[in-house]
Amino acid sequence: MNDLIWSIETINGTLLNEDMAVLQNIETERIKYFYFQSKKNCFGVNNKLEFFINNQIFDFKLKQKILKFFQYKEVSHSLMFDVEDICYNIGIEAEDDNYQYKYTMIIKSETNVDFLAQKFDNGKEIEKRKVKLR
Amino acid sequence: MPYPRMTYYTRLLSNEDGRQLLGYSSTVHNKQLFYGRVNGLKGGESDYIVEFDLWNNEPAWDGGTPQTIAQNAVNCRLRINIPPESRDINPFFYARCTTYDVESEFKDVSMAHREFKDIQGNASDEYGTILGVSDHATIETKIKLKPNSMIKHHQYSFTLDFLYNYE
Repeated sequence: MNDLIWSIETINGTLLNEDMAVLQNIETERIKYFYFQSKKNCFGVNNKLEFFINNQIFDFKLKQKILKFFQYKEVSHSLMFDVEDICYNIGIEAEDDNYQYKYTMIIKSETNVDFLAQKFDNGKEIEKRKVKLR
Repeated sequence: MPYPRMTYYTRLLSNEDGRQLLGYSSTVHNKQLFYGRVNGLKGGESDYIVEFDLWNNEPAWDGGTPQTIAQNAVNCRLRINIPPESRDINPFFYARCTTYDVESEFKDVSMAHREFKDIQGNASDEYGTILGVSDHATIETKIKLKPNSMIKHHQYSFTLDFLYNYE
């Protein structure tokens, strides 16, 4: 998959991306949409805890308070074949009165996208669920 | 900040006394990992240890220009992929990170726990991290078979991936 770069649309409509901003320097409350963009698609999450691919919304009825938005890339390098594969991860960390939550959209390719929901109790994972989005 | 600039090297050591038998070679050129013979009937260890040297932003990268800083490679791990025909003899693959402790214990990497995570760069004080400031980690790997290992076609088969995260 070609290099995806993350973009942010803030609540006042400003567009920021990986080349011009540092995610840690952007206050969580300012973020409206946070997404990876390829030539064909947008994969991301909004400030209503809804994940989306382009115009298609995946509403998992999440109601927690957003702590932060995150993204990271996972590289898998074959030591025997010298080939590299990058998987793009984007999501949010959230909490309610009792637990912490981590919701991740895992973009392996344009046509292979998973959603991972994790529930934590004092930092320890207690539940996990994976859903195929595409 | 630039992405992690990972480069990968292997060398061959004797499993008898740890002597170097073949010097470092880039995995770009060396795609065959050769562990030598293992006695699957009596059980035992491979003739050779294959050592991986994993660099992030190695000094040679900039070719004499001032050293730059790349992003850290975090959550580093070595993952084994074992095809079905070789799964009945696992665990057979063992690894250890010798960056800090050359006497550290080899741990099995198998279908039950496919990822070896005890990886750390020698400039890093963070677990699983190889820093982007010319840091590197060294991992030794070997094959060990139990007595009466049933090896079909007298071979064991697997591939290895190195995984890391960055932002």
